[in-house]
Amino acid sequence: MSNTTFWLVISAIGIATILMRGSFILTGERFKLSDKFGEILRFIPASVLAALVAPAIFYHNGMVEALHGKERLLASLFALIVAYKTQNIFYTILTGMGTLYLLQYFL
Amino acid sequence: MSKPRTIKESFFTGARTIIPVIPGILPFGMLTGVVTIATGISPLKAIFMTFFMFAGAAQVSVAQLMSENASAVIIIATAIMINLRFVMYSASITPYLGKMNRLQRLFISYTLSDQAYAVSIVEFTKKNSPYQKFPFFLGACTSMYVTWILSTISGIFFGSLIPDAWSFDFAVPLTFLALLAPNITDRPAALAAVVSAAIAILTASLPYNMGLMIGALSGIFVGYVSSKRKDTSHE
Repeated sequence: MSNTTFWLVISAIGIATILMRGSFILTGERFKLSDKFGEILRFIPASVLAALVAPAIFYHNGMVEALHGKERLLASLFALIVAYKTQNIFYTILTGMGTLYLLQYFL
Repeated sequence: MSKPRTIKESFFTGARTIIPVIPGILPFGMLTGVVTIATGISPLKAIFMTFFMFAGAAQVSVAQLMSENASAVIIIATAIMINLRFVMYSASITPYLGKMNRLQRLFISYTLSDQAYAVSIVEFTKKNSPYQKFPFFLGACTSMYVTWILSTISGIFFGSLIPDAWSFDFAVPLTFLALLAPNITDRPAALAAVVSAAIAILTASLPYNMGLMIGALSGIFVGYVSSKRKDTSHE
């Protein structure tokens, strides 16, 4: 990505984000949010984050031959379980990185 | 009923309500800085991102997509989707805030965050809250903003010191997993995530990272439909 594109993309996102945050604050409740829209919005974070992360993990080729280079996939599964159980970002990273290091060291 | 508080007291109480959530923000902010650097973005650009976007999940997503050479349109669309939740917060909090001048509206529209919203809506929905709502919210937004900027900038600084050999780029997907987990609140949400992940994997070879959008939209659709179905079966 060229420098110009970078600044344009970040500026566009920055402006769009202010408009979304300000959607009601700036207009002063002239609009109402429909229930249906709220119901759809609820599924956005889970879907977008899953679609972002899954291919990056699934297609990554590592160095551990015993696992056909899929050590990150295994480490991610452990990390996901910890993420779900603890809801703690720090423990999730610790588990994932820890598992990856162990697999790389022992296998 | 306790006596009404002054503007100053309301502001500082709002600012202080962020303190209990700082242990959650600080590592996430630092991590956002670290992983942005891990995807290969320069420190100067990373600092600009944190000031201009002020949104963790979106910042990490944009950094990840830039490292994959995704097209500008996909990057902007992804960030907008991730930040759409702010429309909900904006709609929910505005009725409490009362009269504001244009500068105040603009400042709140820039600094509204998950945490400032969460702590404020708890206070505002209490009966007999003695605090003035706009100053309280302004306090929460301001202290959250300062905490976030300081923690991401320190993360950007540390990130540039971590050697490549540590495989720290793996912290990027791990951060997404950690952000994903709290959103799996029920079966339809879990279904949305699974469908979205599977379709994104299957369509990963499509150009311009279109697989991301196709996966995410399929997940949202399936999640929404399955939640409707659950509703009707209970009636």
